Amino acid sequence: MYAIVRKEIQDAFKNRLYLLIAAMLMVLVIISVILGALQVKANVDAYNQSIEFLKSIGKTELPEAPNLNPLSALKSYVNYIGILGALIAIVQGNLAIAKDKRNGTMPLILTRHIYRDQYLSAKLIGNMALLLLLSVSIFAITLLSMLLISRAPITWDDIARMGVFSFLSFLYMSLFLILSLFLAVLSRNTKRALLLTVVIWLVISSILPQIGDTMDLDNQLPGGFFSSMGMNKEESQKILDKFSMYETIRDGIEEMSPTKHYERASFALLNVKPGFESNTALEISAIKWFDIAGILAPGILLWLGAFIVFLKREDINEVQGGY
Amino acid sequence: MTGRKRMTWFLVAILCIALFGVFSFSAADSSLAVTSNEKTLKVVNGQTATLHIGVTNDGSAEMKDITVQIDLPYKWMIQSMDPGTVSLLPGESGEFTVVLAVPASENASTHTLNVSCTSGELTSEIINIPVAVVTNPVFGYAILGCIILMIAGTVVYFRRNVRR
Repeated sequence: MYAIVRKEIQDAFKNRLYLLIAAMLMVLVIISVILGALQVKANVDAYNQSIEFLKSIGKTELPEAPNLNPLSALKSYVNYIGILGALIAIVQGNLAIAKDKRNGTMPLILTRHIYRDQYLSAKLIGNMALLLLLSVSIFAITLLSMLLISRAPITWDDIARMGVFSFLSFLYMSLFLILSLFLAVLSRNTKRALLLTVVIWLVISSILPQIGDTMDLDNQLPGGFFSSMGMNKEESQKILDKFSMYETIRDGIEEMSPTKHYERASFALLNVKPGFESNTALEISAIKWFDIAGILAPGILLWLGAFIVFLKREDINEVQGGY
Repeated sequence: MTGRKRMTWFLVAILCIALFGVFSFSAADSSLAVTSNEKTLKVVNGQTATLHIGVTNDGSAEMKDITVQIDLPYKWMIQSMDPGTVSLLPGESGEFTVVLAVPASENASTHTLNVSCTSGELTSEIINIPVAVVTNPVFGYAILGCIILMIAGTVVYFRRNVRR
């Protein structure tokens, strides 16, 4: 089993497609974090300059430092993980099964003293290790960029929030890895499985949240439906009360998207969504347990599903063409 | 009346006016005191939460038609308020029971409710009540149930069809 794990990691570093997407993700994250850190630095410098100016003219009552929120530099990171992070995981998951089917090595491996579920677990562990490595690398680069470029005061809680956020990103990518593995095992044709995985990814990461947003009554007109109609808060509340079923359906569609859950938990951790400034990383994780479960639970269910499907598959001796 | 006496009376008059102003301003500001039994509030989304707002007339005159004002987050509603208004004699206290309806679409989050009472032109000081919106634990049990069911199903499946 350990040999399969090791081989998965070695193969990934030889795979040009994997390296290309990983490099793209790294470059995008680095650029976005550096740009974010520069923005924070500009805010810090502007504040320091105004303080120096006030001191030079003899003012003793100095304004308090604004909320610089250095973690906001990571906001774009959430979008990149949502797109490229998921894609890299999908490619990894599909390749893990496809390469063995293509080379005809799957039946050979399974003639050894290894159970089918162990074989799948080894594939998963190897690829999850790669995703973890990617998440840790991005965490380290991000932290260094923040410390060296932004010069904004970073507390231990900020670092803890970044750590939890990186772990959440890892869980989110792992979900798509498992989905891809599951469909590659389920389908006789791995190319079709890859296409299907990408379609499902598009539906749950783009279409479902989009439907949720578009169906929001207040989003029907630019600037807000209720304010455009000249309604005050009480009037709009009364109308919303009449549409409670509609709101429940809209909310239900949104809840089906793990991307939305990832976004909600991440934005709370990064202080992009207001209201979590005084909470610790652990407190936010406890408040946002449903969003974390929304990423974790589908992964566990799909993983057990992959075990069930693979146990009775009799067509593993068929060799497929490569990409 | 000598100039010095006139000046003294003038200063006394100014002092009285100033004192009256301060007194009347402070009466308007603090004669209506608002409190809440709930220092923090924990609300499950899609359900209701009850808030008990106490109000005291610390002034010297009767106050009529006292109402509660709550600055609510978007899509939140006041389901009921009992009583709608109160009238208090000096030194008297009253209590409002406010039922808030939290929309099911509200995600787990934290908010601050700004609560105040008004009686005509008079407005009390605003008190802040931190509110934590939590997800209904039933969803957690449902998710856990699904996972346990799937694990059990997998174990049974592996027992029926020999592990290989």
